[in-house]
Amino acid sequence: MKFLELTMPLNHQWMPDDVLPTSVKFFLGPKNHQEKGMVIGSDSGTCLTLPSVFEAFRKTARLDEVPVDKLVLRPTTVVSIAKSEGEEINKADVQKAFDAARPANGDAILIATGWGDKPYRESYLLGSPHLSLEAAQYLAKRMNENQSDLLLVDTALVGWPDKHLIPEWCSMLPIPAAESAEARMYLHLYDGEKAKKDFAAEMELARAGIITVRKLVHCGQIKKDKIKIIVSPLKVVRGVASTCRVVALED
Amino acid sequence: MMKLIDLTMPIWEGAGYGEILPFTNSPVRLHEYMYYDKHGMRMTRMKLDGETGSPFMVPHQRNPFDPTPLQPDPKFSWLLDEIPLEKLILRDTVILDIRAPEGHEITPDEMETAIERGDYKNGDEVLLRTGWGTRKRAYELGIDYYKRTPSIHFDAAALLAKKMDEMGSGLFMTDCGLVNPPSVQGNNWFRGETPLVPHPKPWPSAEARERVIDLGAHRHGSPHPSSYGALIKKAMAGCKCLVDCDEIKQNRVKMIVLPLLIKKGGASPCRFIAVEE
Repeated sequence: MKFLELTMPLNHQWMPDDVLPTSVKFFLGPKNHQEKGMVIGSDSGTCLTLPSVFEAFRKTARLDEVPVDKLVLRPTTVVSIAKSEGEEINKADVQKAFDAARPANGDAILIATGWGDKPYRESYLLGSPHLSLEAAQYLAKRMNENQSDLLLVDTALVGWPDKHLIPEWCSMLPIPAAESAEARMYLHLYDGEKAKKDFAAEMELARAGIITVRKLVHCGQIKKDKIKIIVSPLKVVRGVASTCRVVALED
Repeated sequence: MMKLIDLTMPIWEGAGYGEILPFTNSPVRLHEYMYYDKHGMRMTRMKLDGETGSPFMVPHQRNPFDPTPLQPDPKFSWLLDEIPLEKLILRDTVILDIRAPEGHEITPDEMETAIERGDYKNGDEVLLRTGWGTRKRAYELGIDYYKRTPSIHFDAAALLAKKMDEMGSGLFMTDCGLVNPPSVQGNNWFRGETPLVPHPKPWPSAEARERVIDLGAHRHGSPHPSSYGALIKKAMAGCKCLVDCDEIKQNRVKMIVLPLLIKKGGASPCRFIAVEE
Protein backbone atom coordinates (compact mmCIF):
# COMPACT_ATOMS: atom_id res chain seq x y z
CA MET A 1 0.00 0.00 0.00
CA LYS A 2 1.22 3.49 -0.86
CA PHE A 3 0.48 6.58 1.25
CA LEU A 4 0.31 9.98 -0.41
CA GLU A 5 0.38 13.31 1.41
CA LEU A 6 -2.21 15.72 -0.01
CA THR A 7 -2.00 18.37 2.74
CA MET A 8 -0.75 21.93 2.39
CA PRO A 9 1.84 22.41 5.17
CA LEU A 10 1.02 25.05 7.79
CA ASN A 11 4.01 27.37 7.51
CA HIS A 12 4.38 30.09 10.13
CA GLN A 13 6.57 32.12 7.79
CA TRP A 14 4.18 32.36 4.85
CA MET A 15 0.89 30.90 3.73
CA PRO A 16 -0.48 31.38 0.22
CA ASP A 17 -4.13 31.39 1.23
CA ASP A 18 -4.71 34.21 3.74
CA VAL A 19 -5.69 36.79 1.16
CA LEU A 20 -9.35 37.59 1.80
CA PRO A 21 -10.83 39.36 4.85
CA THR A 22 -12.66 36.14 5.70
CA SER A 23 -9.36 34.40 6.48
CA VAL A 24 -7.03 34.22 9.47
CA LYS A 25 -3.25 34.31 9.37
CA PHE A 26 -1.66 31.09 10.59
CA PHE A 27 0.59 32.00 13.49
CA LEU A 28 2.97 30.02 15.64
CA GLY A 29 4.61 31.56 18.69
CA PRO A 30 7.52 30.34 20.83
CA LYS A 31 6.88 29.23 24.42
CA ASN A 32 8.18 32.40 26.00
CA HIS A 33 6.20 34.70 23.69
CA GLN A 34 3.23 36.74 24.83
CA GLU A 35 1.20 35.18 21.99
CA LYS A 36 2.62 31.66 22.41
CA GLY A 37 0.68 28.78 20.92
CA MET A 38 -0.81 28.71 17.46
CA VAL A 39 -3.56 30.60 15.68
CA ILE A 40 -5.51 28.78 13.00
CA GLY A 41 -8.53 29.91 11.02
CA SER A 42 -11.52 27.83 10.01
CA ASP A 43 -10.00 27.61 6.54
CA SER A 44 -6.25 27.75 7.12
CA GLY A 45 -4.38 25.49 4.73
CA THR A 46 -6.11 22.32 3.57
CA CYS A 47 -9.50 22.62 5.21
CA LEU A 48 -12.80 20.84 5.73
CA THR A 49 -16.12 22.69 5.68
CA LEU A 50 -19.34 21.18 6.96
CA PRO A 51 -22.75 22.24 5.64
CA SER A 52 -23.37 23.66 9.13
CA VAL A 53 -20.94 26.49 8.37
CA PHE A 54 -24.03 28.15 6.85
CA GLU A 55 -26.86 29.44 9.01
CA ALA A 56 -29.39 27.74 6.74
CA PHE A 57 -27.93 24.33 7.64
CA ARG A 58 -26.81 25.00 11.20
CA LYS A 59 -28.92 22.15 12.55
CA THR A 60 -26.75 19.61 10.74
CA ALA A 61 -23.68 17.77 12.10
CA ARG A 62 -20.75 19.52 13.75
CA LEU A 63 -17.08 18.51 13.74
CA ASP A 64 -17.34 16.43 16.90
CA GLU A 65 -20.41 14.61 15.57
CA VAL A 66 -19.25 13.55 12.10
CA PRO A 67 -19.07 9.73 12.04
CA VAL A 68 -15.47 8.72 11.70
CA ASP A 69 -16.16 6.34 8.81
CA LYS A 70 -17.23 9.30 6.64
CA LEU A 71 -13.67 10.61 6.79
CA VAL A 72 -11.34 7.69 7.46
CA LEU A 73 -10.40 5.04 4.88
CA ARG A 74 -13.27 6.28 2.74
CA PRO A 75 -13.39 4.78 -0.76
CA THR A 76 -12.89 7.65 -3.19
CA THR A 77 -13.11 8.15 -6.92
CA VAL A 78 -10.61 10.55 -8.46
CA VAL A 79 -12.17 12.77 -11.12
CA SER A 80 -9.71 14.60 -13.35
CA ILE A 81 -10.74 18.01 -14.69
CA ALA A 82 -7.54 19.77 -15.81
CA LYS A 83 -7.76 23.55 -15.40
CA SER A 84 -5.32 26.42 -15.52
CA GLU A 85 -5.14 29.74 -13.70
CA GLY A 86 -8.48 31.47 -13.31
CA GLU A 87 -10.43 28.92 -15.35
CA GLU A 88 -13.95 27.95 -14.45
CA ILE A 89 -15.13 24.37 -14.12
CA ASN A 90 -18.45 24.32 -15.93
CA LYS A 91 -21.36 21.89 -15.96
CA ALA A 92 -20.13 20.12 -19.12
CA ASP A 93 -16.71 19.55 -17.50
CA VAL A 94 -18.34 17.94 -14.48
CA GLN A 95 -20.73 15.85 -16.56
CA LYS A 96 -17.97 14.53 -18.82
CA ALA A 97 -15.59 13.76 -15.95
CA PHE A 98 -18.28 12.19 -13.76
CA ASP A 99 -19.50 9.98 -16.62
CA ALA A 100 -15.95 8.85 -17.37
CA ALA A 101 -15.02 8.18 -13.72
CA ARG A 102 -18.17 6.15 -12.90
CA PRO A 103 -17.86 6.42 -9.11
CA ALA A 104 -19.18 3.56 -7.01
CA ASN A 105 -22.20 4.23 -4.86
CA GLY A 106 -21.17 6.05 -1.69
CA ASP A 107 -17.69 6.97 -2.91
CA ALA A 108 -16.20 10.31 -1.95
CA ILE A 109 -15.27 12.40 -4.98
CA LEU A 110 -11.84 14.00 -5.43
CA ILE A 111 -11.65 16.57 -8.23
CA ALA A 112 -8.06 17.04 -9.40
CA THR A 113 -7.53 20.09 -11.60
CA GLY A 114 -3.74 20.22 -11.29
CA TRP A 115 -3.88 23.61 -9.51
CA GLY A 116 -2.63 22.13 -6.24
CA ASP A 117 0.38 20.61 -8.02
CA LYS A 118 1.83 23.98 -8.96
CA PRO A 119 4.34 25.72 -6.68
CA TYR A 120 2.80 28.17 -4.23
CA ARG A 121 2.74 31.73 -5.46
CA GLU A 122 0.94 35.00 -4.94
CA SER A 123 -1.89 34.08 -7.31
CA TYR A 124 -2.66 30.81 -5.49
CA LEU A 125 -6.01 31.98 -4.18
CA LEU A 126 -7.11 34.74 -6.56
CA GLY A 127 -6.01 32.72 -9.59
CA SER A 128 -7.61 29.48 -8.51
CA PRO A 129 -9.83 27.45 -10.82
CA HIS A 130 -13.33 27.16 -9.37
CA LEU A 131 -16.78 25.74 -9.96
CA SER A 132 -19.45 27.79 -11.73
CA LEU A 133 -22.76 27.93 -9.89
CA GLU A 134 -24.34 25.72 -12.54
CA ALA A 135 -21.50 23.21 -12.21
CA ALA A 136 -21.89 23.17 -8.42
CA GLN A 137 -25.64 22.56 -8.78
CA TYR A 138 -25.04 19.74 -11.23
CA LEU A 139 -22.26 18.23 -9.11
CA ALA A 140 -24.47 18.31 -6.02
CA LYS A 141 -27.22 16.52 -7.96
CA ARG A 142 -24.88 13.84 -9.30
CA MET A 143 -23.27 13.31 -5.91
CA ASN A 144 -26.66 13.05 -4.26
CA GLU A 145 -27.77 10.45 -6.80
CA ASN A 146 -24.55 8.61 -6.04
CA GLN A 147 -24.99 8.90 -2.26
CA SER A 148 -21.65 10.70 -2.13
CA ASP A 149 -21.41 13.21 0.70
CA LEU A 150 -17.71 14.07 0.68
CA LEU A 151 -16.11 16.27 -1.98
CA LEU A 152 -12.39 17.01 -2.12
CA VAL A 153 -10.85 19.53 -4.50
CA ASP A 154 -7.32 20.70 -5.21
CA THR A 155 -8.44 24.27 -5.82
CA ALA A 156 -8.08 27.16 -3.35
CA LEU A 157 -11.77 28.04 -3.63
CA VAL A 158 -14.88 26.00 -4.40
CA GLY A 159 -16.96 28.75 -6.01
CA TRP A 160 -15.94 32.26 -6.96
CA PRO A 161 -16.99 35.10 -4.62
CA ASP A 162 -17.13 37.72 -7.35
CA LYS A 163 -20.33 39.46 -6.39
CA HIS A 164 -18.89 41.37 -3.44
CA LEU A 165 -15.88 39.84 -1.73
CA ILE A 166 -13.24 39.78 -4.47
CA PRO A 167 -14.14 42.98 -6.36
CA GLU A 168 -14.67 45.02 -3.22
CA TRP A 169 -11.67 43.72 -1.30
CA CYS A 170 -9.28 43.74 -4.21
CA SER A 171 -10.30 47.24 -5.29
CA MET A 172 -8.41 48.55 -2.26
CA LEU A 173 -4.78 49.04 -3.21
CA PRO A 174 -2.55 47.92 -1.74
CA ILE A 175 -4.81 45.00 -0.76
CA PRO A 176 -5.02 45.02 3.04
CA ALA A 177 -3.93 42.01 5.08
CA ALA A 178 -6.22 39.44 6.64
CA GLU A 179 -7.10 40.36 10.24
CA SER A 180 -6.21 44.01 9.57
CA ALA A 181 -8.35 46.92 10.70
CA GLU A 182 -9.62 47.13 7.12
CA ALA A 183 -10.60 43.45 7.25
CA ARG A 184 -12.55 43.97 10.46
CA MET A 185 -14.31 46.98 8.95
CA TYR A 186 -15.07 45.07 5.75
CA LEU A 187 -16.65 42.20 7.70
CA HIS A 188 -18.58 44.70 9.78
CA LEU A 189 -20.26 45.87 6.58
CA TYR A 190 -20.53 42.40 5.02
CA ASP A 191 -23.88 40.68 5.65
CA GLY A 192 -25.79 37.49 5.03
CA GLU A 193 -27.29 38.68 1.76
CA LYS A 194 -23.84 39.38 0.33
CA ALA A 195 -22.54 36.04 1.63
CA LYS A 196 -25.42 34.18 -0.05
CA LYS A 197 -24.36 35.61 -3.40
CA ASP A 198 -20.62 35.13 -2.88
CA PHE A 199 -20.92 31.60 -1.52
CA ALA A 200 -23.78 30.40 -3.74
CA ALA A 201 -21.80 27.45 -5.12
CA GLU A 202 -20.70 26.34 -1.65
CA MET A 203 -24.31 26.61 -0.44
CA GLU A 204 -25.56 24.39 -3.27
CA LEU A 205 -23.21 21.67 -2.09
CA ALA A 206 -24.11 22.27 1.55
CA ARG A 207 -27.81 22.06 0.71
CA ALA A 208 -27.13 18.57 -0.66
CA GLY A 209 -25.46 17.63 2.63
CA ILE A 210 -21.98 17.50 1.09
CA ILE A 211 -18.87 18.02 3.20
CA THR A 212 -16.21 19.85 1.21
CA VAL A 213 -12.43 19.68 1.60
CA ARG A 214 -10.38 22.13 -0.43
CA LYS A 215 -6.78 23.23 -0.94
CA LEU A 216 -5.49 19.68 -1.47
CA VAL A 217 -1.99 19.65 -2.94
CA HIS A 218 0.06 17.26 -5.06
CA CYS A 219 -2.93 15.24 -6.28
CA GLY A 220 -0.89 14.63 -9.44
CA GLN A 221 1.02 11.92 -7.58
CA ILE A 222 -2.17 9.82 -7.42
CA LYS A 223 -1.87 7.23 -10.15
CA LYS A 224 -5.12 5.31 -9.65
CA ASP A 225 -8.66 6.54 -10.02
CA LYS A 226 -9.93 4.49 -7.07
CA ILE A 227 -8.23 5.25 -3.78
CA LYS A 228 -9.01 5.44 -0.08
CA ILE A 229 -8.84 8.76 1.64
CA ILE A 230 -8.23 9.84 5.23
CA VAL A 231 -9.37 13.32 6.26
CA SER A 232 -8.54 14.40 9.81
CA PRO A 233 -9.89 17.78 10.89
CA LEU A 234 -9.51 19.09 14.42
CA LYS A 235 -12.22 17.67 16.63
CA VAL A 236 -13.64 21.00 17.75
CA VAL A 237 -16.77 20.75 19.89
CA ARG A 238 -19.68 22.21 17.92
CA GLY A 239 -17.19 23.41 15.28
CA VAL A 240 -18.23 23.77 11.65
CA ALA A 241 -14.93 24.00 9.73
CA SER A 242 -11.30 23.21 10.39
CA THR A 243 -7.86 22.89 8.92
CA CYS A 244 -7.18 19.20 8.29
CA ARG A 245 -4.71 16.60 7.18
CA VAL A 246 -5.53 14.62 4.02
CA VAL A 247 -3.79 11.42 3.01
CA ALA A 248 -4.56 9.11 0.09
CA LEU A 249 -4.01 5.35 0.19
CA GLU A 250 -3.32 3.53 -3.06
CA ASP A 251 -3.43 -0.26 -3.16
CA MET B 1 -15.83 -6.25 9.39
CA MET B 2 -13.51 -3.32 10.06
CA LYS B 3 -14.38 -1.06 12.99
CA LEU B 4 -13.06 2.50 13.37
CA ILE B 5 -12.80 3.92 16.88
CA ASP B 6 -12.06 7.59 17.47
CA LEU B 7 -9.75 8.01 20.48
CA THR B 8 -9.30 11.78 20.08
CA MET B 9 -9.93 14.22 22.93
CA PRO B 10 -12.22 16.95 21.56
CA ILE B 11 -11.17 20.61 21.65
CA TRP B 12 -13.28 23.28 23.27
CA GLU B 13 -12.78 26.68 24.83
CA GLY B 14 -11.79 26.20 28.44
CA ALA B 15 -10.51 22.65 27.88
CA GLY B 16 -8.32 21.75 30.80
CA TYR B 17 -4.73 21.44 29.73
CA GLY B 18 -3.96 25.00 28.66
CA GLU B 19 -5.95 26.33 31.59
CA ILE B 20 -4.00 24.47 34.21
CA LEU B 21 -0.41 24.65 32.90
CA PRO B 22 -0.09 28.23 31.70
CA PHE B 23 3.68 28.57 31.94
CA THR B 24 4.32 25.92 29.31
CA ASN B 25 1.01 26.06 27.47
CA SER B 26 -1.63 28.46 26.25
CA PRO B 27 -5.38 27.99 26.66
CA VAL B 28 -7.90 27.27 23.92
CA ARG B 29 -9.66 30.42 22.79
CA LEU B 30 -12.23 30.31 20.00
CA HIS B 31 -13.16 33.70 18.57
CA GLU B 32 -16.04 33.91 16.13
CA TYR B 33 -15.50 36.70 13.63
CA MET B 34 -18.31 35.80 11.23
CA TYR B 35 -21.67 34.92 12.75
CA TYR B 36 -24.80 33.10 11.67
CA ASP B 37 -27.08 36.00 12.56
CA LYS B 38 -25.05 38.70 10.83
CA HIS B 39 -23.13 36.98 8.03
CA GLY B 40 -25.27 33.90 7.46
CA MET B 41 -22.20 31.78 8.14
CA ARG B 42 -19.65 31.06 10.84
CA MET B 43 -15.88 31.51 10.77
CA THR B 44 -13.63 30.99 13.77
CA ARG B 45 -10.18 32.15 14.81
CA MET B 46 -8.80 29.32 16.92
CA LYS B 47 -6.02 29.99 19.44
CA LEU B 48 -4.60 26.57 20.30
CA ASP B 49 -1.42 25.06 21.62
CA GLY B 50 0.83 22.22 20.54
CA GLU B 51 -0.59 20.23 23.46
CA THR B 52 -4.26 20.98 22.89
CA GLY B 53 -6.66 18.01 22.83
CA SER B 54 -4.84 14.73 22.28
CA PRO B 55 -1.36 15.98 21.36
CA PHE B 56 1.42 14.48 19.27
CA MET B 57 4.85 15.67 20.45
CA VAL B 58 8.23 14.80 18.97
CA PRO B 59 11.48 14.91 20.98
CA HIS B 60 12.35 18.31 19.45
CA GLN B 61 9.04 19.64 20.71
CA ARG B 62 10.03 23.31 20.82
CA ASN B 63 10.59 23.57 17.09
CA PRO B 64 10.53 25.61 14.92
CA PHE B 65 11.87 28.22 17.33
CA ASP B 66 14.23 26.18 19.50
CA PRO B 67 15.92 23.03 18.16
CA THR B 68 16.88 21.80 21.64
CA PRO B 69 15.29 18.38 22.27
CA LEU B 70 13.47 17.78 25.55
CA GLN B 71 16.11 15.20 26.45
CA PRO B 72 19.69 15.07 25.16
CA ASP B 73 20.51 12.60 22.37
CA PRO B 74 17.00 11.38 21.58
CA LYS B 75 16.69 8.23 19.50
CA PHE B 76 14.44 9.96 16.93
CA SER B 77 14.75 13.44 15.49
CA TRP B 78 11.94 13.78 12.93
CA LEU B 79 9.88 16.95 13.02
CA LEU B 80 6.16 16.94 12.24
CA ASP B 81 6.60 17.47 8.50
CA GLU B 82 9.42 14.95 8.22
CA ILE B 83 7.75 11.83 9.60
CA PRO B 84 7.09 9.30 6.82
CA LEU B 85 3.37 8.54 6.49
CA GLU B 86 4.21 4.86 6.84
CA LYS B 87 5.12 5.61 10.46
CA LEU B 88 1.71 7.15 11.17
CA ILE B 89 -0.90 5.17 9.30
CA LEU B 90 -2.22 1.71 10.06
CA ARG B 91 0.52 1.10 12.61
CA ASP B 92 0.47 -2.23 14.41
CA THR B 93 -0.08 -1.35 18.04
CA VAL B 94 0.00 -3.35 21.24
CA ILE B 95 -2.32 -2.37 24.06
CA LEU B 96 -0.70 -2.48 27.49
CA ASP B 97 -3.47 -2.67 30.04
CA ILE B 98 -2.98 -1.20 33.49
CA ARG B 99 -6.28 -0.42 35.15
CA ALA B 100 -5.47 2.68 37.14
CA PRO B 101 -7.83 4.55 39.43
CA GLU B 102 -7.91 8.29 39.92
CA GLY B 103 -4.58 9.77 41.01
CA HIS B 104 -2.69 6.50 40.77
CA GLU B 105 0.99 6.53 39.75
CA ILE B 106 1.70 3.43 37.67
CA THR B 107 4.50 1.44 39.31
CA PRO B 108 7.36 -0.48 37.69
CA ASP B 109 5.78 -3.78 38.82
CA GLU B 110 2.50 -2.90 37.14
CA MET B 111 4.34 -1.88 34.01
CA GLU B 112 6.34 -5.08 33.94
CA THR B 113 3.23 -7.20 34.33
CA ALA B 114 1.44 -5.29 31.56
CA ILE B 115 4.38 -5.79 29.21
CA GLU B 116 4.52 -9.51 30.01
CA ARG B 117 0.79 -9.96 29.49
CA GLY B 118 0.56 -7.81 26.39
CA ASP B 119 0.89 -9.35 22.95
CA TYR B 120 3.91 -7.12 22.28
CA LYS B 121 5.63 -7.79 18.93
CA ASN B 122 8.73 -6.30 17.40
CA GLY B 123 8.03 -2.98 15.71
CA ASP B 124 4.75 -2.43 17.54
CA GLU B 125 3.65 1.00 18.64
CA VAL B 126 2.43 1.22 22.24
CA LEU B 127 -0.93 2.28 23.64
CA LEU B 128 -0.87 2.30 27.45
CA ARG B 129 -4.51 2.02 28.52
CA THR B 130 -5.75 2.76 32.01
CA GLY B 131 -9.42 3.06 31.07
CA TRP B 132 -9.61 6.29 33.08
CA GLY B 133 -9.47 8.76 30.20
CA THR B 134 -12.90 9.32 28.74
CA ARG B 135 -14.51 12.17 26.88
CA LYS B 136 -17.38 12.20 29.38
CA ARG B 137 -14.99 12.52 32.31
CA ALA B 138 -13.03 15.32 30.59
CA TYR B 139 -16.27 17.26 29.98
CA GLU B 140 -17.41 16.79 33.56
CA LEU B 141 -14.14 17.42 35.42
CA GLY B 142 -12.72 20.38 33.49
CA ILE B 143 -9.31 21.33 34.92
CA ASP B 144 -9.69 18.71 37.65
CA TYR B 145 -9.24 16.11 34.91
CA TYR B 146 -5.52 16.88 35.00
CA LYS B 147 -5.32 17.11 38.78
CA ARG B 148 -6.90 13.69 39.23
CA THR B 149 -5.50 11.76 36.28
CA PRO B 150 -3.54 8.56 36.73
CA SER B 151 0.05 8.95 35.60
CA ILE B 152 3.31 7.04 35.32
CA HIS B 153 6.04 6.91 37.95
CA PHE B 154 9.49 7.70 36.55
CA ASP B 155 10.82 4.18 37.18
CA ALA B 156 7.87 2.64 35.34
CA ALA B 157 8.34 5.04 32.43
CA ALA B 158 12.05 4.22 32.30
CA LEU B 159 11.22 0.51 32.19
CA LEU B 160 8.77 0.99 29.33
CA ALA B 161 11.20 3.24 27.45
CA LYS B 162 13.86 0.52 27.64
CA LYS B 163 11.39 -2.07 26.35
CA MET B 164 10.24 0.23 23.52
CA ASP B 165 13.85 0.72 22.52
CA GLU B 166 14.45 -3.05 22.44
CA MET B 167 11.26 -3.71 20.47
CA GLY B 168 11.83 -0.96 17.91
CA SER B 169 8.70 0.95 18.90
CA GLY B 170 8.28 4.57 17.87
CA LEU B 171 4.96 5.86 19.17
CA PHE B 172 4.02 6.07 22.82
CA MET B 173 0.30 6.72 23.38
CA THR B 174 -1.72 6.78 26.57
CA ASP B 175 -5.15 7.70 27.89
CA CYS B 176 -3.58 9.30 30.97
CA GLY B 177 -4.22 13.04 31.05
CA LEU B 178 -0.62 13.59 32.09
CA VAL B 179 2.35 11.26 31.71
CA ASN B 180 4.22 12.86 34.60
CA PRO B 181 2.51 12.63 37.98
CA PRO B 182 0.45 15.79 38.58
CA SER B 183 2.68 16.59 41.57
CA VAL B 184 5.65 16.73 39.16
CA GLN B 185 4.00 18.41 36.16
CA GLY B 186 2.07 20.89 38.30
CA ASN B 187 4.74 21.25 40.94
CA ASN B 188 3.84 24.04 43.35
CA TRP B 189 1.29 25.29 40.87
CA PHE B 190 -1.78 23.09 41.16
CA ARG B 191 -0.12 20.20 43.07
CA GLY B 192 3.09 19.67 45.02
CA GLU B 193 3.91 20.98 48.47
CA THR B 194 2.73 24.55 47.99
CA PRO B 195 0.08 24.75 45.25
CA LEU B 196 -1.31 28.20 44.53
CA VAL B 197 -4.77 28.76 45.99
CA PRO B 198 -7.00 29.96 44.45
CA HIS B 199 -5.83 28.53 41.17
CA PRO B 200 -4.39 31.33 38.97
CA LYS B 201 -5.76 32.22 35.57
CA PRO B 202 -4.18 30.75 32.43
CA TRP B 203 -1.50 32.39 30.33
CA PRO B 204 -0.86 35.31 30.19
CA SER B 205 -1.89 35.88 33.82
CA ALA B 206 0.46 37.77 36.11
CA GLU B 207 1.14 34.59 38.08
CA ALA B 208 1.97 32.62 34.95
CA ARG B 209 4.36 35.30 33.76
CA GLU B 210 6.04 35.36 37.17
CA ARG B 211 6.46 31.62 37.00
CA VAL B 212 8.21 31.98 33.64
CA ILE B 213 10.50 34.62 35.18
CA ASP B 214 11.39 32.14 37.94
CA LEU B 215 11.69 28.90 35.99
CA GLY B 216 11.61 29.68 32.27
CA ALA B 217 8.88 28.55 29.91
CA HIS B 218 9.84 24.88 29.72
CA ARG B 219 10.44 23.63 33.26
CA HIS B 220 8.03 22.27 35.82
CA GLY B 221 10.59 22.87 38.58
CA SER B 222 10.01 19.60 40.40
CA PRO B 223 13.01 17.90 42.05
CA HIS B 224 11.67 14.57 40.75
CA PRO B 225 12.72 13.30 37.32
CA SER B 226 10.34 13.51 34.36
CA SER B 227 8.57 10.30 33.37
CA TYR B 228 7.74 11.87 30.04
CA GLY B 229 11.42 12.71 29.61
CA ALA B 230 12.36 9.05 30.03
CA LEU B 231 9.88 8.00 27.35
CA ILE B 232 10.49 10.73 24.80
CA LYS B 233 14.21 9.97 24.79
CA LYS B 234 13.36 6.66 23.12
CA ALA B 235 10.14 7.52 21.23
CA MET B 236 9.44 9.09 17.87
CA ALA B 237 6.55 10.90 19.53
CA GLY B 238 4.75 11.03 22.85
CA CYS B 239 0.95 11.17 22.71
CA LYS B 240 -1.32 11.62 25.72
CA CYS B 241 -4.92 12.44 26.60
CA LEU B 242 -6.41 9.81 24.31
CA VAL B 243 -9.96 8.98 25.35
CA ASP B 244 -12.45 6.12 25.31
CA CYS B 245 -9.78 3.48 24.72
CA ASP B 246 -12.01 0.87 26.38
CA GLU B 247 -14.04 0.84 23.18
CA ILE B 248 -11.21 -1.21 21.74
CA LYS B 249 -12.15 -4.85 22.29
CA GLN B 250 -8.99 -6.54 21.03
CA ASN B 251 -5.50 -6.56 22.53
CA ARG B 252 -3.93 -5.33 19.30
CA VAL B 253 -5.13 -2.69 16.85
CA LYS B 254 -3.88 -0.72 13.92
CA MET B 255 -3.59 2.98 14.66
CA ILE B 256 -4.03 5.96 12.37
CA VAL B 257 -2.26 8.93 13.93
CA LEU B 258 -2.44 12.26 12.12
CA PRO B 259 -1.07 15.46 13.65
CA LEU B 260 -1.36 18.73 11.75
CA LEU B 261 1.27 19.12 9.05
CA ILE B 262 3.10 22.04 10.65
CA LYS B 263 6.27 22.94 8.79
CA LYS B 264 9.27 22.26 11.06
CA GLY B 265 6.82 21.89 13.93
CA GLY B 266 7.39 19.94 17.13
CA ALA B 267 3.93 19.46 18.65
CA SER B 268 0.36 19.49 17.44
CA PRO B 269 -3.18 18.51 18.28
CA CYS B 270 -3.72 15.15 16.62
CA ARG B 271 -6.41 12.67 15.59
CA PHE B 272 -6.11 9.10 16.85
CA ILE B 273 -8.21 6.42 15.17
CA ALA B 274 -8.02 2.74 16.11
CA VAL B 275 -8.82 0.23 13.41
CA GLU B 276 -10.10 -3.15 14.58
CA GLU B 277 -10.27 -5.86 11.97
